[in-house]
Amino acid sequence: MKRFFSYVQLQFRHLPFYRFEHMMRCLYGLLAMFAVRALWTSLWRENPSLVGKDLPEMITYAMTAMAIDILFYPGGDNSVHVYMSRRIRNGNIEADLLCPMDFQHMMLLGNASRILVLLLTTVLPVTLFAFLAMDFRLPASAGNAAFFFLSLILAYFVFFGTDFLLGLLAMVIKNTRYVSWAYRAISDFFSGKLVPLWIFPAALRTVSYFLPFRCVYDIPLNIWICSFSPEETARALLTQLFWAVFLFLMGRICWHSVRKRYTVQGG
Amino acid sequence: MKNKLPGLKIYRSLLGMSFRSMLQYRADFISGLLGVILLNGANIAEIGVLSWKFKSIASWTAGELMILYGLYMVCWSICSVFFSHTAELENEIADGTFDKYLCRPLGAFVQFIGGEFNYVGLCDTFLGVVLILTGKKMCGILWSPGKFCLLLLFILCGGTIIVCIRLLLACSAFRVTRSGPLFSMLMLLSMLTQKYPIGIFGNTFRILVTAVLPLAYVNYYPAVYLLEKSDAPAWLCLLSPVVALLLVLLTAAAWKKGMDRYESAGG
Amino acid sequence: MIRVQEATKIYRVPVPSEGRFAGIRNLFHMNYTDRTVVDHISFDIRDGESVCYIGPNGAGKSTTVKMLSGILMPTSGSVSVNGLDPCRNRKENARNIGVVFGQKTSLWWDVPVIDSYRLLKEMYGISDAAFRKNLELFCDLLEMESFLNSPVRQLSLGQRMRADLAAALLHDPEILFLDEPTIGVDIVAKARIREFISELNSTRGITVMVTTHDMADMEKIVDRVIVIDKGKIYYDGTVAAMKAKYGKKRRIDLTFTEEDPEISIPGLTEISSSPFSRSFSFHTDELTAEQTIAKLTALPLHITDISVQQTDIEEIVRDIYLQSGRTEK
Repeated sequence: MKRFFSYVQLQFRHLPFYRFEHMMRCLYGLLAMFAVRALWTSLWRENPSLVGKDLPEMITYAMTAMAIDILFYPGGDNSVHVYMSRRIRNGNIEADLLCPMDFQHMMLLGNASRILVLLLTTVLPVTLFAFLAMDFRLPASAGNAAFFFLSLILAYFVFFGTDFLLGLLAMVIKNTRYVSWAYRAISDFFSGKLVPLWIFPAALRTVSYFLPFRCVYDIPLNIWICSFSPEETARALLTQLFWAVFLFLMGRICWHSVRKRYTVQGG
Repeated sequence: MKNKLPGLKIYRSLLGMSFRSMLQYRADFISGLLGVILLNGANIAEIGVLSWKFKSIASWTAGELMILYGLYMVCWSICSVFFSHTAELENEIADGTFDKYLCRPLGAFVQFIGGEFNYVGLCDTFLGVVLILTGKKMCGILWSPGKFCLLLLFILCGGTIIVCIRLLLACSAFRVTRSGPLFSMLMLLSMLTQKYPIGIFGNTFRILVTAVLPLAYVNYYPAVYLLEKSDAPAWLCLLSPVVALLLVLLTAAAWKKGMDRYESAGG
Repeated sequence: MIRVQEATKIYRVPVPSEGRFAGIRNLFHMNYTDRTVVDHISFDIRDGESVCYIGPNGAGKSTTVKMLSGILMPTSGSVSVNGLDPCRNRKENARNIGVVFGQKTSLWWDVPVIDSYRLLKEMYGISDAAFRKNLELFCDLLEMESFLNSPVRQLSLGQRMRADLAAALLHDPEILFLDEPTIGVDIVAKARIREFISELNSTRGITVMVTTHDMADMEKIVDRVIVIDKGKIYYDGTVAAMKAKYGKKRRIDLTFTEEDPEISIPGLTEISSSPFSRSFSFHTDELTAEQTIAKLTALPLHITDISVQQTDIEEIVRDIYLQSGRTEK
């Protein structure tokens, strides 16, 4: 834990050098929120009954999804697979491998600290703005909010789990640009980030229930807009816990097999 | 004119060189193909689910949305095949690769752009054409030869517009040394204009993508005109060659200015 | 002919503020400071001269080369290469010069070396005859046949550097700029590169400017040295003159039969000692070698061996750097 805070501190110290990125990211978040709000407002106006939620609920769902997207976007600096493939390309991964610390833990610490800083410096101000300027609804009770944050933490571990596996893949196939695209597309679609799962045709919804991506968006978002009953909430949290643990263990197993066959590029 | 021709010849040789370089990584082609198909598959599934549930989005039917999406893809593929090196400018400036262009008796632009021939982008062209044809069939429309020629002109202009916008963003790397965040912003905007008729995002957004970053001229206005939608007046849609030309001039000026600045500031 | 007059290059660098919540504060406001990398330097290089530009990391060596090759414009002052302003007449200037950046290859990474050369031939409009002649000569002198058909990414550093050197010379430039050409290269390849450079300098009359912090490069390749540190020139002249001016320190080594004798002569500074030997340094302005030896032999000692050496070039340059540091304070 102490290590984690020193990582967080380090991230804060790097922050000023990425001012431009930070500003653009805030703008990005606001624009994305604005866009989904407009989209759902338009769709809802045309046929309110088909959306299956009332408008503020739907908008809150979509906008929160965009807020979470800032945190768990699997293509930017906050993504461990992007980080790993970059370090593989420039050879810095060797330094990481020499570090007297478990590789997976090290990646987790670095990544989690980055995301915590992102939460504090980007997501909070953007959400605050959305709350003040757009009709963004907060959860009905403090209990719901607490469950949401618990669910968000579990969502993080699921996100990290899949992302780390993809990072390991980068150690094997070197160029992951396209694999990363495909992964992003699939996870975006089946997570309920863009289109809520309740709108899906039954067959696609069933598919999404067998994939881990739902744990990152669909579950925390439904808890945030309070559309789960207590039992459903409990079941959803357990699903997340299962995937988080499963992916973490998968990461360990795969790491050990990749470690053996990994050859450093260049030299 | 005499000066331009050797440049073109060198450009061809450079492309040949880049092509041969890419052939060294044949596995990338397979993963690229897979990536392009899955990425677009997920996007199309998203539009598909929405138009299945709501019958139409802002009175655009599924077939029309497909043409909208396909048009963007074909235009994008022009940029993707010949100009995919654009986003690398910030890296080349940062690591000093850009310097070597300046030591040779040729324009830096040709050398920089010739650095990559991304034949994987041809998958986009193919998929885009398939989508346009499918959409056309779903809508049951017939295009006269005149309209067909217009379609080709729109695609040419659309491709030019994407290329210019990306180059303009890349030029910012001469100034702020990091253009990455701008590219992610552009990606968000183009995702929105590619998938949805921009009418649903309201007037501010429409002005943004018409007058500031004219992404709407890539696919939206051409589709409005070709499908005879009432979203926008015809004259506005037919402005696309003018917009493309203006952007080319602007981009040339920005590049020149950027180069001056690079020489005086330097890394 | 290269002429640099009062050239100055200033970079603007961000300085984050320190202290409590500095991270947050820096998010909104960042201070900048000007860093003068090259500070009013002037020198001329005649045609056919070979010059070593020497200095520690960050002294401004690369920046100077970049200004001369047309990559950077000086903030103030002027540079001219063969009468051209390298920045304003970049393309013309590029035909006259060859540049090798030791840290970065100018060749295409994934294709055979020879393919890169063919493309360069096209870029510079080199005639077939000249291309063939140069290629043969370079292959011969740099022993490149074995890797001419391998992609650059498979070459060793020494091979890559040789390939890059040949690439910079294919178009028969009159001036060659080498930025750290031997950095990280093994001894054999280093020797070959040095030999090649001095060969070209003497037979073809190519003007050579080498930046380096390898002192051996300097002694082997060039006849003139420019020492730069913190953006300023501290020495400009021949290697021999530099030795004469700064190389006034001598080292004397003694071996004797007595154990731990007392030796104290004013002007001698002890460098190292062991029971039966001692090393001192002295300055020829204070003591001549003759006086020193006379004073030592006058001591009640049985000296079995004595040797006097001139300080090596590395030490001379170190002294110049140290002096530059002192004058700064």
